[in-house]
Amino acid sequence: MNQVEFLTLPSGDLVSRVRGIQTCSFIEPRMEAQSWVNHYQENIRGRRTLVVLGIGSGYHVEALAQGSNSKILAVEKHDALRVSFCERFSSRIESKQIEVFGLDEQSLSQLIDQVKTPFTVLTFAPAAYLDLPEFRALYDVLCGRETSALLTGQFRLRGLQDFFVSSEINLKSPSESYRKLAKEQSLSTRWRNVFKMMGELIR
Amino acid sequence: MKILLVNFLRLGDIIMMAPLINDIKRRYPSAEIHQLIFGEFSIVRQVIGQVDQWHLMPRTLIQETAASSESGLLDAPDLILSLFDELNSLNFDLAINMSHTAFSALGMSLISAREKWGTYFEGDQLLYSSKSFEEVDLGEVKSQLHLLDWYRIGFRLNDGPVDWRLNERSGQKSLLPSAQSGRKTYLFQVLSSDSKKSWNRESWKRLFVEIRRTDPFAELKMVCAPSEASQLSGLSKESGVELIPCGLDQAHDLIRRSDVFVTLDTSTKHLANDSPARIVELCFGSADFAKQGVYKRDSLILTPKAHCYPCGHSDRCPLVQRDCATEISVNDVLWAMGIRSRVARSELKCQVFETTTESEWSISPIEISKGENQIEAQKRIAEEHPEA
Repeated sequence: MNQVEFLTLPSGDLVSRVRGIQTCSFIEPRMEAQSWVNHYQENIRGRRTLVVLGIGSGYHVEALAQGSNSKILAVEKHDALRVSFCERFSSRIESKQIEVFGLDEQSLSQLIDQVKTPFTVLTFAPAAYLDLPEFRALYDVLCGRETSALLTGQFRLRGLQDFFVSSEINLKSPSESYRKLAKEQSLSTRWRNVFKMMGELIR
Repeated sequence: MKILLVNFLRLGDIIMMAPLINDIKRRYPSAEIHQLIFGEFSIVRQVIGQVDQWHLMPRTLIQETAASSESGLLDAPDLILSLFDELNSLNFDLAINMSHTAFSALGMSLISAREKWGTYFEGDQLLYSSKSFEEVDLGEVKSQLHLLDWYRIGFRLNDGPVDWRLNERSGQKSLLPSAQSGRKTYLFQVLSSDSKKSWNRESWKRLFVEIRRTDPFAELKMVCAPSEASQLSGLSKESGVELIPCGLDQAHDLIRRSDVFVTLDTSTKHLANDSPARIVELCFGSADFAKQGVYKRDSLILTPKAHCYPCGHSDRCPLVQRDCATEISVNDVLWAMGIRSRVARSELKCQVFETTTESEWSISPIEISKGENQIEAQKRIAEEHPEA
């Protein structure tokens, strides 16, 4: 069985399967995409960057682009799905509203450089769940609470390159974490003061 | 000129600081005034009309984001930073910290303004714009002054009388029918957000009965926030006192058209400073009348004699029945309201202070002579004896 298969629905919409599993609805892919966007409205508003995990058949990414002016960074593991998406929605790619990334290390590094805060990470379950462990690793770098995630991704995408975060930070308790980060001398006073404010807010 | 006022205190404190805005408007008549507060107190916009633009710190959202395992550790700090980035894009000439917490002083460090007043961090260093602010131990003011006076002196804005006019700009018309003439209107704020600062429900009931007994035609009304209505509907039904759940603007309107306003340590007592009503403030628990008491002249402040009064804000009362709540009697309140004028001062159970505010807040105790007290105490013991 091919890893990726494409089918044309009676409506004319092109949809895909990966290892025999649908990457979107085969009945109403556009309606499914729109309801996914509606579900995330609160998370989308006011964000400069939207990171979408899983392109699949791509209709949800297109629906998201229609309803938002934010920059969209769409991530997909399978080359065939990325190529198909770029061909079908070329105008969005050309206008740079949407950028497409793979899940390899170099692509992820480029992606982190493109993220501007405030951002949000949106997961399209039918597509992302096919390769969940790999997407999970990226999610952790962008949003996780591991010290390594802070080191490799979260500070970097906020423009902080030279810093040292102690491995002793207790990330299980947010208030403790903020208090410890507030003492990290390698961070600017602006960041330290924000962490102090966080410590005051969640005593 | 653009001025940003930062006030990260609670609702009542924000209202209490409103005269400072009038002072600033007097000093800088053409200034554009912005105010930054916690989002949950946005209701204050109903009564403070002098501010041109409000900015809200989404405290609850920040706390929820920080606690959510679905958010990154830096997502919540991002919310703070984006708010301050937005503020800085407005290019303020002057930022004034009207609160004395570590949070607000840290927040001031994120504001780019040509001049800063109050307590603020510059990098890691805590700075004060005037010597009097050195009396602050972030979170606590050591000064013995009323907080409004302390801030006015600190900002050097005390060159004129305190101007309590609220909502001058909003020009809202009264939402309620005008009061009927000839009948006294007594208004009560029965609930406090802090249960330590409340009076016993039975005492309120008895107070209402006694008022009705003396003045059957008096209008009795209880004011509360819409969210508190369910807690008070029972008391309203049992005592036949009209319950008016309303916003701050309507509460302000009601107070202004009342003869007497009896209140606990709540935000509405500060609204009452801008009214002709006589104010009777009942202080329980941690209510600190010396720093945040009613400001208006000729008001009465009733405080318990309990040794533990006032307790700390975060202290839990270890007693089953709070001593302080029983040490202001119904009789005391009736006397303070002017309903039982014949009651001898010696019969008062609580301490009473009268506000004698002129250019600064001041009070004078209404003294009860020791001899009178002892005689009354002996009389009370004798009356309470089972054989009596």
